Amino acid sequence: MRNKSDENWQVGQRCLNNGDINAATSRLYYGVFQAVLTWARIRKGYNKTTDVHGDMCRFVKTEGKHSNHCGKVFAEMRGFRESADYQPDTPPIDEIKELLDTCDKIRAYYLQQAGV
Amino acid sequence: MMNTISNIKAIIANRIKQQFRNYPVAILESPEDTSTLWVRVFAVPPENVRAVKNYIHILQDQLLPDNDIILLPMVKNIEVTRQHYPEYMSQEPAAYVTQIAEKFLLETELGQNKWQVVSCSSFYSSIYHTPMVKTALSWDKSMGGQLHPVPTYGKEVAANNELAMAA
Repeated sequence: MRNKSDENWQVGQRCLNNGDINAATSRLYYGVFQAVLTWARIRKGYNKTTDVHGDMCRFVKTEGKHSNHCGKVFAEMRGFRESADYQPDTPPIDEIKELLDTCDKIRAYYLQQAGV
Repeated sequence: MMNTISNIKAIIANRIKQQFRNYPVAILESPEDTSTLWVRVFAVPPENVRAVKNYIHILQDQLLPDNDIILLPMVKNIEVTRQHYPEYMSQEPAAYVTQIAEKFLLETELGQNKWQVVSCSSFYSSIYHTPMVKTALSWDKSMGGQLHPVPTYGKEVAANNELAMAA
């Protein structure tokens, strides 16, 4: 799962640089999501298969330092990803970029806490 | 749970409308997750997008501190709303109308006489050339959904030579 998180984050960055914003949003979100999911499975014994995205949001909002801020950023990133997947508009690139630094830190934190 | 979700949606929508009176609000349940709500706010000027998102986060903390229901901010600026959600653009925000009017002035002969937009309502801009002359533009949305200024009595003003008098 670490490799998947890294791969999605890197692909997301490439898509962003290429101007493929919808694809970038999806891959960048999943880069973070998979880091949190990896931690949840290893450290929390998480094994649900429904409402998983909501549960990962809850973990980020409540676990770890800066959880309040990180929880908000992760929720916004998830909102952009669901917009990219289901809604007609494309997320604004400047609003995506605003979240990237914190998203990368969330990803790094959860992978480190997972011990992978 | 469904009753609770409906109540929560109504409360959140009302709180946002109280805080930001001009922005349409429509809340949907995420198709992926029964305990996640899309909090969609439309026609927001770009400079206010962050403030609306932050307010949605405040509502999450105040109304749903246990995170049983997750709120996802989905704040759509004016141009995105116009292009993809025109049903939420029943009235043009005054600031945007002014921008359109000023662009119109630059592109037409009116601009050569140094007309400027000095007041604006939701449906038309009033344009003054010195305190003496006044005209107005109405907004024709038949041009493929785009705003298209149509002078209502500017030509009459010019025909009466009021422009020359004011100059």
